[in-house]
Amino acid sequence: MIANQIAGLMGVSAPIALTDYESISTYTVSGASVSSFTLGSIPSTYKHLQLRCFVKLDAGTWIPFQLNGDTQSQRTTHNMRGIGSGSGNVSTGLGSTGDGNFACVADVSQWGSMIIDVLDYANTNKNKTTRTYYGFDNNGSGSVGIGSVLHYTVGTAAVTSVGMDITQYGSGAKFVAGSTFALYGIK
Amino acid sequence: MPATYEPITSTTLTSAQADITFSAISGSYTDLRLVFEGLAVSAGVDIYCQVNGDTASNYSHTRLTGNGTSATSSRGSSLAFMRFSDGGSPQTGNTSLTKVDFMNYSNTTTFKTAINRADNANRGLDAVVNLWRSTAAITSIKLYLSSGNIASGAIATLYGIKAA
Repeated sequence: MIANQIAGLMGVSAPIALTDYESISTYTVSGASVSSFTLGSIPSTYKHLQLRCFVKLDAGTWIPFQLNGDTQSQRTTHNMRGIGSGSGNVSTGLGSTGDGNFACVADVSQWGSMIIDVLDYANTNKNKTTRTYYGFDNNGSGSVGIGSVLHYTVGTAAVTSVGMDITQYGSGAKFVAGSTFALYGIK
Repeated sequence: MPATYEPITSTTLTSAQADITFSAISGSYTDLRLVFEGLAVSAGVDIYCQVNGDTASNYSHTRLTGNGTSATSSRGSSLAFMRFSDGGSPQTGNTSLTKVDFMNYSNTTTFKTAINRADNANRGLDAVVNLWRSTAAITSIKLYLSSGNIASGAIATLYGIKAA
């Protein structure tokens, strides 16, 4: 703490202590596949949240990311995504539907990764934004992308839960057993 | 709550070297994060990686690259290495800052995925996802360049991240 204050006075950044990154909760799909999950009761004692996911689906689809249970029409998104080859191999989207309203992409073919940052999640004076980073590769196919999501109807409320609900796109896809969602707090 | 983001090992090169290798990696974490601040002794090189000493064609990737003018996407299949950079590759005098997440690296039932960003402010940036088609736990990581040596001053640090 003192080191941070001194560094601030000197105009330089002190390194973040590694003890300031903590595991909050983890959900692992076991048994039957699931279309949604929620990690709730998030304390407001951190500065940012990070959700780290290792996932596979039983059918490829887009995956929305929820704060406080918000729905498809309650978010706007910018995404840039590459699929490795072919025309239109870079796509962007802005809007409440389709290519403009997903947080991540996962697939049935191979395990993929998603890392999502929720910035200043406990602040009660600003709308909430999330930053997404995701991808999967299957030796000849794949998708990788980055995105930014504004959860505007969450508004200035502190974030107390995060989750994903694939049915918001009308997809019947589900996360298969072994898919893991680990939530961390960053002080 | 216990700390869950720990440095495992770090290397700072005091002379140019062909590679930086981390061995005997513990399987006690959930994910690994590799942070590489790299310089190259020659231009036009990309950052490659092999794990567990596997030199066979068991790697593939999909990447997204921006160079200040356009964004493009490409892939590599059945390669003998992971590829972490294209536009964000290191140059002589221009650092590439590369952060790689090896997800669920120690499980022994799935192929392994690594997702990374590579940024070179003078050249471009990348988002890349790599696949290693092996169910073995990752126990060693070799970082090297497509040609030439990693220049003196490069720093590579390996962290472990552990979920509750």
